[in-house]
Amino acid sequence: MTSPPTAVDDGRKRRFEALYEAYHGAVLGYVLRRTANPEDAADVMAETFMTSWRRLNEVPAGQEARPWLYGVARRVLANYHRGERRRSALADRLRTDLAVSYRPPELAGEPVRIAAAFRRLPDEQRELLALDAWEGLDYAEIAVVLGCSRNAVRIRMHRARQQLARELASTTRLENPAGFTTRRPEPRGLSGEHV
Amino acid sequence: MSQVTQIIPVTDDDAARMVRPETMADLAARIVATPVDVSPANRHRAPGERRARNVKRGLLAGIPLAGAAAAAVVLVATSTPQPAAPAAAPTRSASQAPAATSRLMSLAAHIEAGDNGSMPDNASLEILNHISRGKLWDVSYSLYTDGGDMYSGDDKQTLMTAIAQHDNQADGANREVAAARYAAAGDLAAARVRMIDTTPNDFFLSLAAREKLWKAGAAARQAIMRMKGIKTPREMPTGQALQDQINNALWSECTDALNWAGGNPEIRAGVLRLLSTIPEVTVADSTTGGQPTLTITAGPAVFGGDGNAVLTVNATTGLPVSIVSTATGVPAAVETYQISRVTLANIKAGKF
Repeated sequence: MTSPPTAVDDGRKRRFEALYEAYHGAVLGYVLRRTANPEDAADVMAETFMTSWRRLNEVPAGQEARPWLYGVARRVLANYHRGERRRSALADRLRTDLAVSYRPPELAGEPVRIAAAFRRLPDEQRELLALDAWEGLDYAEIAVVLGCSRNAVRIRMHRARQQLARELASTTRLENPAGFTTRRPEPRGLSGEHV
Repeated sequence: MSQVTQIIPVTDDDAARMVRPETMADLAARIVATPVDVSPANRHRAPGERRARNVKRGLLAGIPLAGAAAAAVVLVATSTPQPAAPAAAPTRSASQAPAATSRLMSLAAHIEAGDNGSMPDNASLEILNHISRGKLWDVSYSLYTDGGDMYSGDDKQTLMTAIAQHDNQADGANREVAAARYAAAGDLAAARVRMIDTTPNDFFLSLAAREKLWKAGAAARQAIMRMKGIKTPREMPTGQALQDQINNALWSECTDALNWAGGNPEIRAGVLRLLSTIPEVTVADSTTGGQPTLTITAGPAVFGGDGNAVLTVNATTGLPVSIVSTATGVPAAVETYQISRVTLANIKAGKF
């Protein structure tokens, strides 16, 4: 039996709507950047906000909600990658909109080489670098998304940047046959604030 | 610019343009129409609760001043030694500053004089345990050699691998450590600036130059604030607000230096000297595991809102024992230090 709406229910709805209004764009962007097709993105988006609706009391206030939502989306995505795809009726319209408007990114020139090197990184390192470069999160916020300490983020980020530098250097070597001078990326620079 | 930024598949703005506003509203309406079990028992078992709780600690540990909420000092029971209950959130009493300064400077001098329990060998191994809600969350291993090399890992094996692969992080991560080393013997005012400047800032520019930068960065700042859901425009910090921000940066960089190389007497002496320059920091005697300790507290003035952080160090050696970060409504986040003197060869060989 469904209980009639109460003031608590109304307050809960208002809180969710405020959360949704503030962050639906960021979450959709996060999800689209990590899914192979817009259909999956629509489902992950819906599942992420459904989870936040169920767990609304745990959502941190203010700007701290964004990394928390990314953390939820990350777990939902992990389920998808494990083959637990479920088409959600909730996301019907969203799926339709995205199917019509979504265009896969087209890279040319240097970004092609960067993307190739990036794809060769382990999932965890790709996510670290993406949270930094695409989501603009600082180490503390990345720690929230990944469920680890800021110190662990710093250490792992260092390794990820070094690995990307190595992959880029490797790509450069492949693209330049023996006998040609190759200008390799400078590892020291790549271990700085940003890759 | 980040190379990875160049390959962003789709921006948030692009994503927003792909979906009609009524579609977004429809999804929200469908979700809130879904009944949920919000009983306390259900909430208690929610798998993501731990992550949510960590948010406050994360922001406390970083630079942002505005993120910290009301303080509630809570110590988490763990198997590792815990500091004695720290004092309540300190008020900004100027009269406390000289006493704190004196205690920290005295301990720093004591460490520098060599009566610090220093051990032989040629490196310091630091195992940092991050504990939240009474559970060990993760562990990091840092090795700082007396020659200034730095290696890190998530466990013994990854630390050994880092050493074997000569993955020395000193080139990118030793700015805080270098500043702390300088502070141990150098001019303290200059050392303070050096430590704060380990991350880019505009703190020490003229007001006119800061205003110019503030205006120049307005569009980018607004975009970030929009992205983060902040609607209230920020004022450029000046006066005490600026000083508080500077002190926040100093505390954060100092604790980063301790996280890398707290086992090195010179580094921790430098850190203590630097912390003594923060007027709002208070120092109290405590006991941890039967050993005399000092609790060094940075309260709301340093962390904004009502945030609080307590660094506990051995009263004789200055070796860090723990850092406890607190904020209202969330359990304390605790980082405990296990520090030992070692040889690089032994670590490399797995003898630790």
